[in-house]
Amino acid sequence: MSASDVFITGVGQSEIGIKLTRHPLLLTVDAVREALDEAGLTIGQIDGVSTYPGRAAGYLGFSPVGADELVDALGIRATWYAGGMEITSQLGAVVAAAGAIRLRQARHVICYRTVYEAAAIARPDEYPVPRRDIVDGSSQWFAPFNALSAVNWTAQYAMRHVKRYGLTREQLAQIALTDRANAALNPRALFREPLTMDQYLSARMISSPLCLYDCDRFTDASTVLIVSAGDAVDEVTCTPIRIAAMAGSVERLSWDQAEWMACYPTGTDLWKRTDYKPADVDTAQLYDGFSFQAVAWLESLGFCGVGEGGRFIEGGKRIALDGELPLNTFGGQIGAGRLHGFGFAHEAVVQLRGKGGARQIKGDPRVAVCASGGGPLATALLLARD
Amino acid sequence: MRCADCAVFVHPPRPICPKCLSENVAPQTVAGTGVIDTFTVNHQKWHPALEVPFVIARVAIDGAPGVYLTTNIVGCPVEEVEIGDRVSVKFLQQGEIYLPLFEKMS
Repeated sequence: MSASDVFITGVGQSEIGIKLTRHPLLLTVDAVREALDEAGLTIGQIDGVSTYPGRAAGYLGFSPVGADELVDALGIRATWYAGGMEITSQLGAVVAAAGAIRLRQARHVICYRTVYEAAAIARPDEYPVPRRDIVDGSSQWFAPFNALSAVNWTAQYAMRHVKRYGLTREQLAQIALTDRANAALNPRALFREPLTMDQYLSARMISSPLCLYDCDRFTDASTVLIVSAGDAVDEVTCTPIRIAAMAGSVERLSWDQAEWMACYPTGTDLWKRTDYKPADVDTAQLYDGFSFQAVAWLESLGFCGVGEGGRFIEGGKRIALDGELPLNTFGGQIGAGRLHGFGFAHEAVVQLRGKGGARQIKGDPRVAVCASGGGPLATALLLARD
Repeated sequence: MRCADCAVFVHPPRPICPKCLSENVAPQTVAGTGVIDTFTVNHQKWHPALEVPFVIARVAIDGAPGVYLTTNIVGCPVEEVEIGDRVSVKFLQQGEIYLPLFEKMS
């Protein structure tokens, strides 16, 4: 390993729940503690913090804990920190940290994503959402037409696959079925009961072709990844996982002006930045806030051709825990909860370290790919255990 | 909007052309017709007053390459909407705002 390489060292996660009462800052600290313990680091060795998207004042459930609050709460002596929504989706916070580390701005950076959307909706007095009669900004192009949720926007991408490439409901179902089968083996997952094809096909439609089980649901949780410099990994006690390549992109953020999804150019770019090939990947952890995004990521990353994603996952064997490309082995967001991007990188590290317990994939996995976003924003990371 | 120097359409409106960086951009009348690029049928009642199902579509505006509007397709059953359908605008007044909805052309 070279000093210019950047690694993910400790990873941690709070409990994952619905309508939790534990303060979201404390959920974040729970995840930080677990990550520090795994890495054998102390808070005094942390000198950077990176998050997506920072404290969201108008929508606290989406992001209740700002980086400055975490710095303050834990007494971190930070020489670099960042948090913002204008980045190439959630794992862009890891890319930013890796860049800062390579530029010698920090050595051990806590990257985190904390969500509190279920609790916030249940307790509107504590977590109010401002209401307005007139919308502006990008919402003005969607809200008046009751295109009120990202599901409406993502569904339109999925519908093109249905009409152009023949994506079927039975094929798409394999994302949710795989997620729920894997979640049953993950003690922290939100949904521990497997899902059947009959249940999937009889579920109510939300925004065609996406039904209830194609959508994640609001969750309360925090996920932490510690990103460390190559010349600092001798300070950690866990197996460091090297960030072998990173890629990201932003399409036109208004969603409806984008010609196509941002995951496609991002996937292509990722392979230009490494000697690894898609065939080297032992497991894929791909964003599935809506199931179709995982299908698009499989195509984007070259595991199959554009338009072939439906046939690639048909029957589910190929992406199952014992298949040739185990997908979202922790349950994805549909099974484990809406951890919002960071859960995929967390699980990639867990699997590469062989710490997956009942859901650990077979063999000796050495290379994993993880991705967040996919629509107008996309980030992909290739991780390797040397 | 449209750039008067290089004729590229600019949407959503911005005070600069993204192709030639000219600031000579101004509102431009467009056809009022277009083609359904993609769509979804929304079944979820996002608020109690919302009547479902209804069609949300992305319409490519005729004669304005690269300009799309997210809109609703009205005036026909939801199951009769397809990608590629030709549509024309039907404005819905809401206070001082006119919303461009679309209906299928016969």
